[in-house]
Amino acid sequence: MTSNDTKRTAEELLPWYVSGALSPEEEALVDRALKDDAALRAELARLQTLQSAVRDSSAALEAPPASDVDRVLSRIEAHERTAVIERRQKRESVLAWLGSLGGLFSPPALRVGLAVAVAIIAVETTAIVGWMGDREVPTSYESATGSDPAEAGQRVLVRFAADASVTDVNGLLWEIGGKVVSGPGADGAYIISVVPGDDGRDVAALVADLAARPGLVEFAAEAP
Amino acid sequence: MAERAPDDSDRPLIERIADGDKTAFRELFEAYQQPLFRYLTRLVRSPEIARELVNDVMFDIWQKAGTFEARSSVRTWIYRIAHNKAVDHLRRRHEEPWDENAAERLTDCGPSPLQAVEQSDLRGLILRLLDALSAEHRAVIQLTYFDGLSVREIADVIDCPEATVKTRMFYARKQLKALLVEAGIEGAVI
Repeated sequence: MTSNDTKRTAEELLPWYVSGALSPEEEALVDRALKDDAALRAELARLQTLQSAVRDSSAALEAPPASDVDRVLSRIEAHERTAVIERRQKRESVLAWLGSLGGLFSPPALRVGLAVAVAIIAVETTAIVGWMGDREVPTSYESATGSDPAEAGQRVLVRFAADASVTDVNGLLWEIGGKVVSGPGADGAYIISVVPGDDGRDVAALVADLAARPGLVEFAAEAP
Repeated sequence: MAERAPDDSDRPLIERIADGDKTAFRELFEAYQQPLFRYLTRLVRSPEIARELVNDVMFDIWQKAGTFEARSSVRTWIYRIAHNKAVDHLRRRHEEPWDENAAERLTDCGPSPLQAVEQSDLRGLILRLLDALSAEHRAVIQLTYFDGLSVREIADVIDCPEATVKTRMFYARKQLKALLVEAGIEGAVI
């Protein structure tokens, strides 16, 4: 820092040198500058006069009464009371609002609500049942794996005799080269697919063959 | 350069006030009522208004004590609240708190500074000279010479950079000198 810089800085800090508000380093800088500069010392004297005048004039002001603290405390208490009342009013208004919501759940309103809920359920049930009613209810099962190759053969509708054993039915199916592809239906009949043989026998001949086994087959017809 | 450590001796009082301690509030009120009154009188140039502003400041301190974050000392925090009250008041009165040319209007009314000196009323002269300055200059002079605040603390109070505080002090001194030269008493007083 040059001597001019030091002088400028010292002159700038002089008011706070007078009031004693400088750091020790700043104070030392001003002390050094004052030692070598008469003009700065004269300025210091003027500022000290100014400080005295400011202090005297301020001190000469008649101080406000100490009882002002009671005025402020009264104001604080009044403000707090108002704040409490406002908070209570807000809480009460919220509770009133919640209460109006709660009225929706009082017994008469609850009955109305339940009636509305039942009506909605009834409408939905009707719609679902109606939709199901529009669908064709299958009278036979369908393989999840799709069409069996046997379905490509001759198809006959057969109702076995009530006392026919599983062994007898399996023997018959083996004999004719047939396979149950669905059933039993509502009338107890099964649809049997028979791969046509080399003998050129048609469906009518097959039905006649099956119908000719009264102890085992109760009814046989060409499948629709 | 190193700054003076901020005086935080009033911090326990603020903490007690934040907890609703009215005895602590009375202690703080007693400590700050007069310095704030003198500072605010210097700024608003009316002891009656300054008194009301002091009470407003103390009311605000009660309300805001819980939000004090110790970014500055309690003293500069309180002075900042007071300073802002004064600035708001001056603006409401359509006075420009930061009028750089206010001092130029000094000699337009009342007895001249020279006449004041002739009446040996040095204190009255100084008061008139200071009152002729803009509020920003009055603030810097009062906070420096009466309240003993450092540059940094004044910057905190009036919310400006430290360099601005020094600049305002420079212009305040310059204006005071000019006024004294005009009155023919330069060097006799300051």
